[in-house]
Amino acid sequence: MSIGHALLGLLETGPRHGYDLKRVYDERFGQDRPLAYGQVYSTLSRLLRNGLVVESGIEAGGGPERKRYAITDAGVTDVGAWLVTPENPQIYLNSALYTKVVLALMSGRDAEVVLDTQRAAHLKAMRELTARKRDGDLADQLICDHALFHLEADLRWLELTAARLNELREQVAG
Amino acid sequence: MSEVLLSGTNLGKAFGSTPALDSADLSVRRGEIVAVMGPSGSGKSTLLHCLAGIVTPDTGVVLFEGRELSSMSDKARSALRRGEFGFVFQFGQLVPELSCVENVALPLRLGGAKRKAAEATAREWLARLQVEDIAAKRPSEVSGGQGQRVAVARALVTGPKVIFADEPTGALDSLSGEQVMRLLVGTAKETGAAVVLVTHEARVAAYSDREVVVRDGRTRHVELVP
Amino acid sequence: MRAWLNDLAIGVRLAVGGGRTPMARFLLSTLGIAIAVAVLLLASSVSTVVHARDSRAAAGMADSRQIEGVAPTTYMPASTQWHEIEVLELFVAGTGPNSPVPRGIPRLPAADEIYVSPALAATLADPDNGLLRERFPQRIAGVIDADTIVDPRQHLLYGGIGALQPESPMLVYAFGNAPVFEHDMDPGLLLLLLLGTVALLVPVFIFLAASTRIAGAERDRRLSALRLVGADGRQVRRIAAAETLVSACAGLVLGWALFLGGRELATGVTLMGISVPPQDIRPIWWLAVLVVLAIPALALSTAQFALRGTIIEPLGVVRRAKPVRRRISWRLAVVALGVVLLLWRGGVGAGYQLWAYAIAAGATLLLLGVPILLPWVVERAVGRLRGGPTSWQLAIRRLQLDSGTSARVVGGVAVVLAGAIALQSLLLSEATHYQVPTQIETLDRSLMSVYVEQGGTPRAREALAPVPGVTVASDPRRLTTWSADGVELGMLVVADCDYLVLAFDLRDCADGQVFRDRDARVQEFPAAGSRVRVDTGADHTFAQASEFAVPTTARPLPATQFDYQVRPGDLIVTAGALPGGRALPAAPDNLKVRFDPADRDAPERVRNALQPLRWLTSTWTSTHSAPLTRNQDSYLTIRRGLLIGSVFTLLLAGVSLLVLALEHIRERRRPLAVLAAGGVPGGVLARSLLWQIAVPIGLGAVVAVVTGVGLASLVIGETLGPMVVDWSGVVVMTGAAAGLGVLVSVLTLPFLRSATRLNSLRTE
Repeated sequence: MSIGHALLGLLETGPRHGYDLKRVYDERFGQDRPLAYGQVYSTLSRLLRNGLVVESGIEAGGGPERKRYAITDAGVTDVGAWLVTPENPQIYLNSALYTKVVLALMSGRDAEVVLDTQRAAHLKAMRELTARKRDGDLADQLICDHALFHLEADLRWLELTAARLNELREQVAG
Repeated sequence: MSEVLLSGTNLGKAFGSTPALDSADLSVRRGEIVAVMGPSGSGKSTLLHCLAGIVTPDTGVVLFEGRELSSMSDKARSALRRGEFGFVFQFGQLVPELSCVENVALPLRLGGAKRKAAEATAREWLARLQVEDIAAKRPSEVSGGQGQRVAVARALVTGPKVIFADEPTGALDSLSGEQVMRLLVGTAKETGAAVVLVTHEARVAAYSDREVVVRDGRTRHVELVP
Repeated sequence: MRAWLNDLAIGVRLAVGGGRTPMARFLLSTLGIAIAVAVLLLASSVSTVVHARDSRAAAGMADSRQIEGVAPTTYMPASTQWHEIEVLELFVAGTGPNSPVPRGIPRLPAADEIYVSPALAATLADPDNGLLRERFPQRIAGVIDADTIVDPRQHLLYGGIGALQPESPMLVYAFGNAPVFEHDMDPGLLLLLLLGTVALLVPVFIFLAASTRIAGAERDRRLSALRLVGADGRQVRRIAAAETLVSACAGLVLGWALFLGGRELATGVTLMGISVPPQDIRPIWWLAVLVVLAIPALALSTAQFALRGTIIEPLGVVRRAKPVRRRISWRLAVVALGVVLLLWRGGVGAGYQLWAYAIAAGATLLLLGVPILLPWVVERAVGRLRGGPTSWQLAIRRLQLDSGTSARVVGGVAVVLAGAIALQSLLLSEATHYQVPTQIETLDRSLMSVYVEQGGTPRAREALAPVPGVTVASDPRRLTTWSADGVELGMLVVADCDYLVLAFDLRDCADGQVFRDRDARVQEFPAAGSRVRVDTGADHTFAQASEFAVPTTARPLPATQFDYQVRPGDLIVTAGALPGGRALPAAPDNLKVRFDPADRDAPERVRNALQPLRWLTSTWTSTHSAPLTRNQDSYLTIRRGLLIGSVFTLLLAGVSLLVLALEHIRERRRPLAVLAAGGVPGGVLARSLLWQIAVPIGLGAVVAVVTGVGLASLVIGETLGPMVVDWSGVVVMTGAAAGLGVLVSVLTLPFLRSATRLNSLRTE
């Protein structure tokens, strides 16, 4: 997730102060992790350097926090290109969990317990997301669903692994 | 936590030489939503059928409010299904000849209620599940999601203590599935009905208060250390 | 009680659920039951019809036993003919004020009056029938009450006796109180009647049973859905019962409507020479009550019987046992019991009524054996079949999976077939037993015979003289001959040239010639060159005789239409060739009339000319049949009834086959649509459906032929003489059954096409 592109996209709707940008970003995308103030300004200065934004004016009172930024044509092109560039699919293995399962099998412990515990934890997280989804607005629902689907994918891996434990046990033993 | 409403202990069931359940345990408290999870063929549906008194287990005991189901007569069990239990299955539980409102009114009528009164109540439930506009249609004329909401209305119409839901969203797309689950869980919570929810989908199970996993006919209970 | 009513209400609601599919199901079974009800009502009306006919016939009967103080009515029957129609003329005249009046007319007609039956009135009123109107110059005084006429088609008139007085009239002292003789039916005929009833009604009941089992799988699913929401086992059975009752009752109502409506059409229908007034077609009250009670009861019991092996569970239908292979034992037991009854025959010989009942009971069991055995036969037969083209494979696999439905479908047709074959064989064999002429000879249609009462010939000839386009000749005389030593020999035919010209078209006939009707197969009489003595007297006393030397040569007669007066091998002598021939007494009273066969009205003109002679003459043209004995007559009546019934039953079987085939398609809509969606051509599906009907029908035909012939041979046994199997009839009937199957398959094609449209894939 590129914060620079996100800020550029927000600027496309009109020039804004840096503080404004942080507020809008947090509102829309920052549920999990609000932006640090410094991060906004370092990102903006990088964009400024690359000619994607320009300072469009300083309000009375001075100070960097009162600067207004506007997007350049290059910036608009850049946002457009970013939007149509697919995200690199993450080939992701929960290596810690895999390590745990293998270690459990190697040490003769019940690997199913590892999986069951993990499932319970996952479901707990999913339950919380579901509860939040139930009370939230559409944006909340969409974001929660995204997380839910990811967690579900993990759970499916857990189920498949559970079904293959015997096979894995033999391999580990052999 | 409140008292146990329904419990199955050491349940075993074999169909011919194929074992479906092998010492499974499950208890459901009043108003609780329990997800029964597990891969297909693990015996979770059989567990539900045993708990609901549809199938008599070979071994073990099912107690509902302290009464043992297997010792009850068919008549008594039918009355239980009619009054205390509600059912929502994947599909096909609606009677195709009857309109939606008649389907919902059916358990009341089987219990001896008059047609008008039964259908008035049925209409209220359809409205509660936001499908009052299809009351006069037949199940074959409504969408899958609408059909399941009618099924939920029918499950709730007698004010049951337990709703047995077997893959209630199995034949639906994600969005309709969400809606059905939301309404099912929401209305169950409002009426204080417990739900036994059989599903293999984690997202559906996430609507529960608690989950039980069935694997190879056995239940696995996991308590997370908080 | 409330709960009961509630359950019944739910069942009713399910039965008439509306929506296309449930409605179609409801209509199919209702129609099926209705047809069965109508047929049963018709069957239970038969004896009323017969009784009404008998009592009407008795009403017209004249009683000539003398009654003191009653001035008798002079009564003289005569008849005439209008084209194919027989007109019975009853001439009556009172001899006193209390002379009896025939039933149906208010008073005795005056000399110039006639009363006519409704049918005759209608014929007379037809403007095309002017010639007939001319025949009856009398005033039509009124129409005879239809209730006193045996057959609504009967042409009958009562006329007054006028100037022409009968020489020896019948004196009638009463009409319509002649005793009707009740007599036990000939056991052979009773057997035929019982067997016929059995053969006709067994398919009706089979059809009835099949109708109530329409859409069994669907019903099972529906009932299990009810179980899920908490209907207990008994409730479900009550609901199923209510469902069946609805179609049974609707079927009853529709059946009555069909029966009453069809009855009104009866007036316009003449089947095999019989027509019946609608008001006569009235079921015997207790049989009607039986039908009304038995149909719902039967429907209920079949529906409950169909549920016997199943436990309707909330999750669906659980067969109590795995689908076991059909067992042969009890099926064979039914057949065996039938055979035993047929062999035992009540322990008495033919000629006892118990004999007939025992055989009928055995035959019933044997016929029931057809639908009972058929599922087993089909199952075993298709069980081993493999391979073949796709359509064949689809059909056979389907039959292997569930042969019961198809076998039930075909069972009805097979019973009809078996019954028809058995009946046909029995009829043929009994026909030889009762020596009923199986064929009616057709004569030369341009030749008419006129029979004249003693002494009427000159008047008849006089009457015929002015009729244009006809030639008249007297019949030949047949004279007795005997040998020189007094042994009576055969007959010698003495004919006028007029006759020979008329009958044999001999243009150059001259008196004095001798002819021979040559036929190599018979011995000629009298033999050429022999001498015989011929009786030439008027009184047949051999008082007057002449010696006749048979010429060695005689002109051959040309081949011609069959003539009863001249038989093959006969010698025909003109009067001039016989010594003393010219002095023979007057020619016989009977005349032959020849006219142009193209002139349709010629015979009517002849009859018009003869009409003033009334009972003195009678004519006949085309047909001849010898008078029948009472048993022969009953035999013919029963045979007619059976043939009419067979037509009905075959139609019923066809309808049932169609109904069940459609039902089959409807029930298997989805699999069929899946196959079509998967690219299986429609033709293959159609052929596979055809095979699914054809294979069981083929097997059914085999079972039916074996059963039918077997049944006939068992029934006929040794008592009724040699058995005659009408193999061509068997072929025709089997062909008709097969044709019925094909026809039904063809009729189902449009439904198959609509079923395989892809939207059938959509479900709830």
